Amino acid sequence: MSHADHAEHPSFLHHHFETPEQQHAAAKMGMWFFLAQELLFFSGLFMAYFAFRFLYPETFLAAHEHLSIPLGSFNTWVLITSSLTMALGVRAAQVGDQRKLEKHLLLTIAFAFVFLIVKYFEYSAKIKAGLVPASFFGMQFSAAGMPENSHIFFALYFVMTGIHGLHIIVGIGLLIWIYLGARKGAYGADYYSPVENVGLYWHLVDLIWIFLFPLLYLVR
Amino acid sequence: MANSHGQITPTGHEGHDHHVLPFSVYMGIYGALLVLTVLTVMVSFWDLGPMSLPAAMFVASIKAALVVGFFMHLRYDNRFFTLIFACTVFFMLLFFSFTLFDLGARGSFVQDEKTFSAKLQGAANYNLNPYKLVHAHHGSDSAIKELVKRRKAEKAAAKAAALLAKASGKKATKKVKKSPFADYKAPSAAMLAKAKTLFVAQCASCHGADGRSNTAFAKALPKAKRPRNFYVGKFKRGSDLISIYKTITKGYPPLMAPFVGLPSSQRKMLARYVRHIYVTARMKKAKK
Repeated sequence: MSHADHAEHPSFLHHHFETPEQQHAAAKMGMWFFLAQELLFFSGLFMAYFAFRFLYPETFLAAHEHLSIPLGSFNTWVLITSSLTMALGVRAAQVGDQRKLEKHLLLTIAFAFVFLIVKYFEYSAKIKAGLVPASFFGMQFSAAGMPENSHIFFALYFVMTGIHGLHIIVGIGLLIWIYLGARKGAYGADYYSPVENVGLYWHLVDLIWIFLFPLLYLVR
Repeated sequence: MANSHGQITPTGHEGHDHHVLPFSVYMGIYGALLVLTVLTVMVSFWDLGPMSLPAAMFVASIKAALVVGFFMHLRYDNRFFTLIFACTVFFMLLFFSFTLFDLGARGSFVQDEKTFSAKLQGAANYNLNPYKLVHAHHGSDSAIKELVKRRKAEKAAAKAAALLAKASGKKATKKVKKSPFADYKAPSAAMLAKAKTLFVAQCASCHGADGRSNTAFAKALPKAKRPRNFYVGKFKRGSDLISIYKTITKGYPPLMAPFVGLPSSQRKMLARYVRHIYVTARMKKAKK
């Protein structure tokens, strides 16, 4: 294609791509590689979880009693709903419905904040109860109250949910960026790659929680 | 599909409209995800024994497949993205299964003594302790809240008193002298009994069964080097719970040995026991 005729060259199309379709597919491929890397990165933490649960099943069973199943379930609902609003937002972008795109992005951001607020209450209760793993872990409890190695469970809990929470915070930033772009009318039916890619990222964050929830809150 | 330049292009479609899913599909998937979440919670309450983890992972995998397939459009998108995702999952499963094979096979012939005994200890602790009762007693949120509230009130009162003293210009402080042990909470009798057994087993050879260091070993030493009598004086390495725990863990050269070999739960138990002796002895003294 000749780059000279700008009439057939939309403003969003970078010069190293031949067609918008090619640019869209390339962007999405990059995103999928990034998501693959994210999954492999989290798999290390999941492996640590499986290994220690294999070694100390009774410890995990006892220690998980400190997590609140109602709060965990509520947050699962929050994330799944935010995933729905995100998917509907991408759909709105695909069909070029500007108003719905903005509405669904705002809803997704709101659900993300709800998730973080619930997490804040969960974390602060655990910190007050002395469950943060450090050299004096469990000093507030009767010394013999917790099974040996309970701190391993809480170390995994804090690291896994902490990194997941970090992803939520990053996601909120990305969603706000997309929302601001959408308000300026940057996205439409012919160009919505950033919306879709942030959507993919957001679904992945939901995906990881889908596994974290039964592993941490529902040990049997 | 690759074009003549080896670049990836969408397969045989024009424009983007082709993978717009109907609204009803999204709502259907959402409903299924909610039902499966309820199922996840329910499954965890069935007594499935060793199958509970695979069952939970199975339900979570179905949920994940729905999210990936429909919300992330993988089912309708370029097959190359499916390949990327499938490879990732494949290598994750490889990683999990081989590591677990290794972990499972290791214990049977190269038994790591320490790990094994720690495992047994963990099991024993769990069976021995009415864990939930202990938790309800010590860990309840209301008790912690009350403590935090009281600390805050004390701090505010101290600050007000200091301000007042400053305002009146004279050393008006130290009027309200409070016992430093006012909010000390004694461990339960059951715990103390258990801790005492542990103390006798681990510490009595130097500090005596009563903690007064009346042992022959202690008397043979010059005064400065004698093991601590927990009933008198200030501890050289600090007498608060955390300092005591540190001293037990790290020892106090040359004579006090580090007890880092004991499980930390036992070291904590001993620290609380010694602290209990310290506090009760000083409180008695103060009353006289």
